[in-house]
Amino acid sequence: MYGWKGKILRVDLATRKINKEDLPIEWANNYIGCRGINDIILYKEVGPEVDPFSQKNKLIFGTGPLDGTPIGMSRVSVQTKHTKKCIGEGGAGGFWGPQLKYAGYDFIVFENKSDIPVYIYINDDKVEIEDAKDLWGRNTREKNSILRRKLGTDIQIASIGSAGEKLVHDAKIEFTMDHSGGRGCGTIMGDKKLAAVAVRGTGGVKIKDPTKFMAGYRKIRKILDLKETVDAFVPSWAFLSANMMGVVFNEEGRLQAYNAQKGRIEGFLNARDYLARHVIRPDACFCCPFPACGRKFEIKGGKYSGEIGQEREGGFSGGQHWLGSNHGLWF
Amino acid sequence: MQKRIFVVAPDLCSGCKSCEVCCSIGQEEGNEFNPQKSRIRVIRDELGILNIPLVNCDGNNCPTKADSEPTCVEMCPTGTLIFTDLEDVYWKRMELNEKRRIQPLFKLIVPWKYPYPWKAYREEE
Repeated sequence: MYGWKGKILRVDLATRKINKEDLPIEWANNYIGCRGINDIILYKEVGPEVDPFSQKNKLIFGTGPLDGTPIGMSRVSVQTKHTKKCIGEGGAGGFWGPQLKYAGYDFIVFENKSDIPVYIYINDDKVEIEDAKDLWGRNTREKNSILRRKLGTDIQIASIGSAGEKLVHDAKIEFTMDHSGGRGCGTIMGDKKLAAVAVRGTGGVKIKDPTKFMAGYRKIRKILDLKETVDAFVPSWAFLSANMMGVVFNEEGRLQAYNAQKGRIEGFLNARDYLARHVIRPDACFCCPFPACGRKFEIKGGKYSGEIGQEREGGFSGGQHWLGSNHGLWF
Repeated sequence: MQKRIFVVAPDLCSGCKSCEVCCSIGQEEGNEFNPQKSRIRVIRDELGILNIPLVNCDGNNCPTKADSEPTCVEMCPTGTLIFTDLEDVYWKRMELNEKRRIQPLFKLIVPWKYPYPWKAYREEE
C-alpha cells in the first residue's frame, strides 16, 4: 500500500483498550481521502438514533493518502456527530497531520467516554492513555507548553481549550498553535474528557515512483511560481492571504463596517502600510509553496508594544472583520 | 567560478519544511518521504520569531536535482536557502537590503524570486 500507512487506531477511553486495525483496501479505493472514510466510519458505526453526548458517539481524526508528502501537505480532518445531530467536520493545517502519518496511522477513532480527564501520547508504535489532571482547566497554549516540557519539543499536539471542556456547542480543537479545526468537534472531545492528543513519529510515507512524483510536483510548483504565474490571485494570496479580502471588499463597497451601517471606510487598509508596520517574518504550514500565507508580526508602539504573534488566513474573517471593521476599528 | 556553497538567511525562513521533505525522497533506498533521513533539519519556533534551517550537506551530489540547483534550493518558497559563490552572496544581500528600503514586501521574500513590480502591471505602463 503506497501513500496510506494502512492502519486505523481505535482507542476505547472507558476500558482503556487500544486496537490497531488494518485499513480496508476497498475503503481506500471507493471513498478517496480522509473525509470520505471518516464519513463511512460514522455512517456504519454511529446511527441516526445515537445522541451526540452519549457513549456511542465517536470522534475520528483522519488524514489522507497524500498527507506528509509535498503535494498533499498537511490537512487533517476531524469528524464526529455534531451536537445539532448532523456531521461536524473541522479541518486544519499545520504539522499535526504529517506527524500522525509518520507515526504510522491514517485514522484515530475515539470511542466511549472517560471518567477522568486523560490525554493520549502516541510515540510510533507505543500508544499510552495518561492522566491529564494538570492539563484540565487550562487554555491550549498552557497545555502545549506543559506537554512539551514533559514529552519533548518535537511533538505535535491537538488540544481543546476551556470552551471544549465546558461543552460550548461550537468549541474547536487547536492543532499545536494557531491551526484550528472547528464546527463543534471540541465539544465532543471535551465530553469524552480527552484533553489532548500528542503525536511523535519517526517513520515515512512511501511513494511508488519518486521520479514521476517529483516531476508532477515540479509542474504544480510552476503554476504557483511567482515568476511564471499569470494569475493575479497567486501573488496577492501568497503575501497577504485573506487579509487582501479587506482591501478588495473596501474598494467594492461591501465591507461590513460600523455594525453593517456602512460598506466602506476611508483609509481602511493599505497592504503596503500593513506590511511595513506590523509584519516581520513569513510563516507557513507544512510544505506550503506560498511564502507568507501566515505571517509573524510584532506590535510597534502603544500599550502592547513588543508583543509577538502569528496570524494565518483566518485573520480577515476573525480579527480584522468581525472584531475590527464591524466595530469601526482598523489600523 | 568560485566554489559554490550553501548560505542560509534565517530571517526569511517560513518554517514550511519543503526543503526537509523534498531532500528525503532521494536519500538511501525506500522511496519514502521521511524527514528523519533528510540532510536538512528545520527548527521551528512557534512562539518566537525565528525558524532556522540546519544544513548538513555540500550540495554537490544531490540525487534528485533537476537543474543546476539542488532540490532544496529549488523548492524553497522564500529564498532562505541560497546556493552560490561567496561574491554573489555579497551582491545578493546588497540587493535585498536596497529593495527592502523601497518595498516592505521584501521582508517576506527575496527580490530575485519575485518580479517587482509585477509583470501584468508593467505591461500596462
